[in-house]
Amino acid sequence: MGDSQYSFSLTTFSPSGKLVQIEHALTAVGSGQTSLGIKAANGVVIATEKKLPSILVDETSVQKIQILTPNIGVVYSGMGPDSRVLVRKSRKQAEQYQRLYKETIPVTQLVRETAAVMQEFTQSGGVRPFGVSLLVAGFDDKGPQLYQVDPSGSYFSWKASAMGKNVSNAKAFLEKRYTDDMELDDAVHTAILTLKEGVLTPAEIEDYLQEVE
Amino acid sequence: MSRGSGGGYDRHITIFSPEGRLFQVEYAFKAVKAAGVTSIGDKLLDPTSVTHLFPITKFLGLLATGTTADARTLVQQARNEAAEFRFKYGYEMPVDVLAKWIADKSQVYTQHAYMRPLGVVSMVLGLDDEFGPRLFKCDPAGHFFGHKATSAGLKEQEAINFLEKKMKNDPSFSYEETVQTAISALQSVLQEDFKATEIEVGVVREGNPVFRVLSTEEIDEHLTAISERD
Repeated sequence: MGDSQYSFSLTTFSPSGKLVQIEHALTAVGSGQTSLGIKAANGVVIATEKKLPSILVDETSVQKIQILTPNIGVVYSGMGPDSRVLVRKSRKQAEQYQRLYKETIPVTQLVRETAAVMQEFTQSGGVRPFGVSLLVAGFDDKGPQLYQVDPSGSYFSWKASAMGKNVSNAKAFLEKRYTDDMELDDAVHTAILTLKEGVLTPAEIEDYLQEVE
Repeated sequence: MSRGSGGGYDRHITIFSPEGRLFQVEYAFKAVKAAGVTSIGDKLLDPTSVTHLFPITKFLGLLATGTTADARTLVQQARNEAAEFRFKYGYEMPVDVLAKWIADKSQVYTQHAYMRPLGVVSMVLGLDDEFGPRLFKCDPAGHFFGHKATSAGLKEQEAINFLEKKMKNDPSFSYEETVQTAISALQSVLQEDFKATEIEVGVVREGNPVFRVLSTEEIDEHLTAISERD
């Protein structure tokens, strides 16, 4: 990393064996705007809240969901500026893979490399962990895939997941409505409903569902 | 068991607090507010040397709110970066690219312990080939957004409230109306009528994309128009 005056890690073990800086990073993620992802039979959807601090902000200048390659996208919960660093590094890694192997990078490889970067920042000298969790959605030879990467650098594949505020409600809602044979349109519909969970009351949601079904 | 406040260092360098906050970044925001409005009443001070409005290139301007020293460092680096961009890519650096560059640099300071965040909020303005006039605001945390109108500094919330009211129905202002809205916002928030020598105004406009600082005469004209209107 080269922060030579700080040749010691800022993330160190507590007596109980925890890496407290990572836990704090997860807290920062947990207070970020909700985002979620759902893997359908024929695709993946990721979605997020886009609450802007004022009506004066030009909403067209803000894009939280970013493209990493033509077939891989990413959304984050947590600190926006940190996510830009990861997006930039991931895009570069995807490009380097493409130059070397003359093939588009598989989703798992890109996730692994991004996670490795996040892990580096929990161990290198003079830096703090990233204050974001990422949901990476991609479609390659192995079909649709959804991965969640945490500030620690650990990653898991999910059928559906949520991050940020209200995550327990969102996950409970997703568990109820998820089916393995969901189509992409259903998944998009469910994603939007789940985000609205935080805004509408349960009664209003029931009404809406009855109308639709 | 949680270890409390990270050994006390979470206030000194940019590591996370137990609540997931970065205190150094929050303190940088406070420094922006504490810098205050510069008084130009001092007889021994050369008033032309006191400025917060900096041309970065012929077509890009930057208004720096906060610690003047930090602002000058940022401006110096931004000027260098914009010049390199023009040399490397053969066209002028667009507003959003500069804003992103400033924001990404600020993000690095929030993540690496060896540099503190800068106590500056920058507003970058310019005329984009595709999108027309653009205004971006960058803060010490590394956030940057495009704005229809915005404010920074000690009374920024009052100014933003004033501007929100004016911009609520998405009006399209003419050049004169835009300048006068900006000056009125300052007047209303600081609750004083100032002389033309006490404020700085910088503009870009369609048809004349060069970033220009208005002269005292031009500011006077606008001030007169405002008082006649009211």
